Amino acid sequence: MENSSGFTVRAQPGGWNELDRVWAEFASSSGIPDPSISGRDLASRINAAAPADRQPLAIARAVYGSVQEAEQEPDTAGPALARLSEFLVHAKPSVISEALRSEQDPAVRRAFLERAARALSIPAVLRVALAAAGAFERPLSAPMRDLLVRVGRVALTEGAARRAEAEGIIRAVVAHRLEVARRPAGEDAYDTTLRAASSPRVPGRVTPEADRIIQLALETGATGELLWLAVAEMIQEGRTAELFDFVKRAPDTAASSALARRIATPAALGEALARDPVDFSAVDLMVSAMGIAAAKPLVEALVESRVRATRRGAYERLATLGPEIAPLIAGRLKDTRWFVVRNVLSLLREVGADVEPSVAERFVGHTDPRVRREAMQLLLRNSRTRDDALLRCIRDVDPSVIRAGLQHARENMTETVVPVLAKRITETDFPPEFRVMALELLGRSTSTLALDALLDYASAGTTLLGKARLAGRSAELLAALRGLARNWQNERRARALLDMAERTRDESIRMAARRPGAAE
Amino acid sequence: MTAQAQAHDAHDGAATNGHIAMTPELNAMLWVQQEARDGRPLPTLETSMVADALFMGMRPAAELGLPLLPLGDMEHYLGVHAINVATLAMGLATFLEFDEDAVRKIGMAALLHDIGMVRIPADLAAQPGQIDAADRERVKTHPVEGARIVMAASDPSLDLAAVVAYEHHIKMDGSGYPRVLFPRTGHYVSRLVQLCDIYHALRSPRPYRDAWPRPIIYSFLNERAGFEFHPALAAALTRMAQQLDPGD
Repeated sequence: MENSSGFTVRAQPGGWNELDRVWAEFASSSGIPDPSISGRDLASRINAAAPADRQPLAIARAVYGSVQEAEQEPDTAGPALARLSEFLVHAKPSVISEALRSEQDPAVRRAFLERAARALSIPAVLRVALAAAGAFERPLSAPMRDLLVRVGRVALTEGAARRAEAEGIIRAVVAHRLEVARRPAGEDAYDTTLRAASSPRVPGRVTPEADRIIQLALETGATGELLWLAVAEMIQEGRTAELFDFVKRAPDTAASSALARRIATPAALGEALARDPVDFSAVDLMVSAMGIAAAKPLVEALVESRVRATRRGAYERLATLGPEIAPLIAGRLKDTRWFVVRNVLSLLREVGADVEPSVAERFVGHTDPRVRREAMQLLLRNSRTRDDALLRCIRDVDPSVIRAGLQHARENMTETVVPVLAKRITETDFPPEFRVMALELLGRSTSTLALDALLDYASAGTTLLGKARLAGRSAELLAALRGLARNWQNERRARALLDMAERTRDESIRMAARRPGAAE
Repeated sequence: MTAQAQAHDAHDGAATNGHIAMTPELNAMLWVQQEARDGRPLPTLETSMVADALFMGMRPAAELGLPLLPLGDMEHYLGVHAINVATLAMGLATFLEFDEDAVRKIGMAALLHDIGMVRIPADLAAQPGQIDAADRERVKTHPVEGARIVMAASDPSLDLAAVVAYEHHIKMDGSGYPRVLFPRTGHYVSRLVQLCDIYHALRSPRPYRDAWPRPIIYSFLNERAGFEFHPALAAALTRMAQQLDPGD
């Protein structure tokens, strides 16, 4: 194994003590040919050397390598570790710091501290602690040094029980707490925190419940790793709905917003939408926090939920997300279920998506009129396809499709529909309830085709003397008269019928026959 | 071990500064509080080390001791209070046979229970009993401030400390402060630290009053047990104090 100091440790076969070899190399690199030199003497030689003559890399190899190798040879490592401990105790702190600093990899340094804390004598561990704290990322504060020294004194001078306890404290500090990996703070720390957490929180007598931490955070507006760990715990326990309940009840603070963003994940939204009944106030919080990321689970619910209220709710929320959802939902048009296609077409229209005509044209001949209607609605929005779509609607046999066409024509009347309208109102399969609307539309046209259609509905034929007769009172008659009065006041046949209408006793007929805007 | 011997042990290795013995633990705690006061990250390593050292100091022999620091001058009140409440809390937890890890965690929480006071002007923090209503309201913000400081420390081991800092003035019947949005009973350790906090405050002299005699403190705690304080904890604290902190 090689670390960034370039030191390679390999146990050699044949009984050669690798730790002795490391020590011999170390001594040799310091100009000492005798491999049996004590730790104290070697430290003295190095301390006395001019700084330029010291070889921190060689010291690092010896320190890092010996501690690492000792794990491989626990049964025979004792004397070598004692020698190394002696060296560390007697070497100048700057010598140790310089050597430790030559290792750049934080993981290697952390592993070294853990091993050193276990393997070296307590005085050596303390020296390593002091040197490492200066050399690594986390400077050791003066109070911490004092505390270590204080505990170290207990470890070195007291009776066995207290000594063991003090040693435990020192070894724990050095092994686990000294070089704390820097972690990003705040909300972004969530994943890092979860990865870094060596063990899950286990609620007990002294470990507070996750919901208590979260409630505290929401009440104080505080965020941080503690919050995110508690949130992760509740999500893991399937208590996402409770989290949303907390957010709903919390004041609007940075903590509640951050929490809403954190828990508003596609998976959590999917879970919330899978409940029956769905808590749509919680869903709204999630959708509001997630934005477009909410589209996927909402589409899933729209497509797959067996609960009509859920589908409806998902639809309404998708409709608020805007045209950005178009690419996501358009793929669902491949679904063979009519209601899926209908809902997707309807959504595309409602969000104002820019849809290629070919997409909707695939469905204008669909067997289900609800799908046809939505496809037509999309085509009606497009100036290139509007006229065609309008004609298709009016020609359709389904009342809902016809109504969609007529309603559109009412707002965007074009002369192209007149021939079809004039023909359709005479056909027996044209729903009677649309005749009035159709006549109103024809009344806005100046086409003679429209005139003929209006005359047909206003007239009841002729008398024996060949005089025109006004049709009986009906909504169709009134609509036809209004159309004639608007555009055909001077047309002979129309004029005759209008005159007749103005002479009737029926006020509604008289009103319908009057020129728009004329006083009675 | 006698109380005097324990007190001597607490001062072992300490330098004196005016009327107060500056033990390494107190020094460290005052430094921790100053770091928080200056808006720097909470030094959790040092705080945990203080808890460890105090825990070690509580058991110089096989039996439990309560090496409480004398109060000294009010300048260091917050530090002494933190150290002594932590010692009392760890003592009570040991008395109640919590395991060692739990006792240390309780010690850490107790050390930080009043950390929010660093956000309160020092003159108010030093004598919260003799202030006007407006200042009292300011002092009452310290649990929220404390919870914020601890939560910001980004240390997963401080979950209990955050809770205790926040809840230690909420009474058994829900009165006290801060007012919570989500009704809940206080954490057991919050109740434990609350009792130690009150006990230490009452046994300490203030500029405007003497320390309360121990029997009066015991009566005070037990009369309010059940609606202000956790009854079993109040009884346990009384028993422990009678044995280990009998007073004059």
